[in-house]
Amino acid sequence: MGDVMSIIKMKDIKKSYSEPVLKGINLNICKGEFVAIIGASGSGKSTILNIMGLLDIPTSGEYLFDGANIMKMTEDELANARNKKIGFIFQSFEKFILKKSSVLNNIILPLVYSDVPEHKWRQMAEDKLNAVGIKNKINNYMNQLSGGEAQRVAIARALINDPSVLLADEPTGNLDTKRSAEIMEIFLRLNRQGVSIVMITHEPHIAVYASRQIILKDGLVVGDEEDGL
Amino acid sequence: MIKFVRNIKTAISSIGSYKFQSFLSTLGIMFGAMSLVAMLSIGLGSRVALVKQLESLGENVIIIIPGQMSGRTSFGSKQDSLKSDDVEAIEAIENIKSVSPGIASSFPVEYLGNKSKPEVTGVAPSFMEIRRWQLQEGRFIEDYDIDTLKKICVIGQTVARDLFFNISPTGKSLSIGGKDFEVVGLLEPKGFSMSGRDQDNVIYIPFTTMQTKMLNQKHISFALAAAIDKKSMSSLCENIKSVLRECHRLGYYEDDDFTVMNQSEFSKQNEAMTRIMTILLGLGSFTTLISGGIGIMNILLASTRERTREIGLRIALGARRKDVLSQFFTEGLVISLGGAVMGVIVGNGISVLVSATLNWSMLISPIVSTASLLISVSVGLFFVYWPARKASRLNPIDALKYE
Repeated sequence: MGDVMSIIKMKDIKKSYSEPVLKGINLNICKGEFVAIIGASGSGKSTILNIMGLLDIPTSGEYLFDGANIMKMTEDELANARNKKIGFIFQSFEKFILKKSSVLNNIILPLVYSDVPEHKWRQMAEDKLNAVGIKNKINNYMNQLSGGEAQRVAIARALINDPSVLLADEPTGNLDTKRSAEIMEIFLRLNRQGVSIVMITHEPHIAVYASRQIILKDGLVVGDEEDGL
Repeated sequence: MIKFVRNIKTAISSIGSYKFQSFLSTLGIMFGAMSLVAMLSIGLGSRVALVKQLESLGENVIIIIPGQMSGRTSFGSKQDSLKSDDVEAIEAIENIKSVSPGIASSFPVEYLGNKSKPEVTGVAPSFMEIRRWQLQEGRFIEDYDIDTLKKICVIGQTVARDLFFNISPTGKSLSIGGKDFEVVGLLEPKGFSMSGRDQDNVIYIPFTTMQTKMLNQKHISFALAAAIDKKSMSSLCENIKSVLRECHRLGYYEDDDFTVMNQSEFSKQNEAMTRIMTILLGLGSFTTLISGGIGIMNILLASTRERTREIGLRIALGARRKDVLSQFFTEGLVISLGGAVMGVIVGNGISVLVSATLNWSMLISPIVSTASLLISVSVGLFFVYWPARKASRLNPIDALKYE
């Protein structure tokens, strides 16, 4: 696939904290792909997702996000890109929701930092809740929802700005098998609708939902297979 | 503007989510603003009352009291040093228009079973002119009353109300310290002095009557002298001092056994006293306000810790550092403003209550309220800045991982 279709392009990305975590990652993820990044604990999965999500800057290498070199972007430009082009889904979704707020207020959180006029927010929230199958919960409070429903709210929030890519960190980590399958079905449906997804997981039965699996080991890509359900 | 409105909405929503913490923060600022309003009202009220009182005293008035107000001889050490003869000597000084002695005491007063305990003062006829007071009815003490030690009196409004209700007191006979006095005049209402003294709860009688028939004493409590004009008041005071030193046969090395003050000196002393009082009261309430501010800071710092993950989440979702700073700052503004508004309302309420129950002079003004509001909000915002800055500088990854 050519550069025009590339959403994430990493060239020899290295990241060190007290010791090297990423030791030279080369990756090219295209628009419309559903990618799973698999690896054991400490393989660098979370670090690579943080860099992909513009929350962290590599120590060296080149990272082009949607064609823009992130090393040349200001903090505000990075924040703007996070807001408009990236949808985050976190592993412990219950920790990343505003528990004392309503479903609506949780979903529209990214819109607060966007230029979208306020009168459109509710409709946009309803559309995304519809996409994840819980439209009727819009006025509920988060503490009235089940774990599966809360994760769907997190997905709806990630989708609210129609991002270029959805970054999911262990999206089924805290869900049972049935709920995990339901979330993966949503991912597949969104991907079919054209949403690019990069998902981190350590569970092989979840990774198979993705059309491409990238295997990380000790900060390096050791496998890159195109094989999905 | 849209962002500002959004910030306010987000802040109110966050405050709603952290009701108890927000309530505690609001309380701190509220108490600060409340005491600031109340203290400023008392302090400034006293100064306004003092100015009024001094104005009523007259610019050309000189006050002579026994003993010294400063220096080696402590105040009140020679309370019997002033005599009626001194008054005559002062009267003879050039540029002195009139002098009145004053002998203050307190006696039970009664009229047909109605009782009162006003301040009874023996004065001369010139007293009324010196103090620029007016009569509502009847007459004041005259020279004839002084010469003949007449048992007549002029009463204030409170005494009239307590003893005579709605009846005109002139011509009635009342008992002062067991002796019958005829009421010859009623003074116009004067209200309360800055110290809370009811200036209408007074009775004036001829000073000679007071000295001879009531107290049997030669000395007087004070003397008031009026100058012909207000020019060269200080040299006139010096002349009075010389005359009195001569009358009292004081040696060269002996201190004055009296104090001579004119209105400006008296005013200066009292002004300084009330200014210190205002400053002290203001400082006290400012300290309360600072404590309130530190309270806000502590609670917001705790809130920043508690909401670390939320801040990380907001940054991940596109909030810029200035958005986080502005959100926390706006929360602080809403809390401070809420607390300050409540404090100003309660503070004014307390001022009204204290003023009504204790008869203290208090200045309840929009300027005091606005100033207290602005000071309280500024203190609140000052202490909000640090936690807000801390929140905005959080590393998003650390914040997202925070347990």
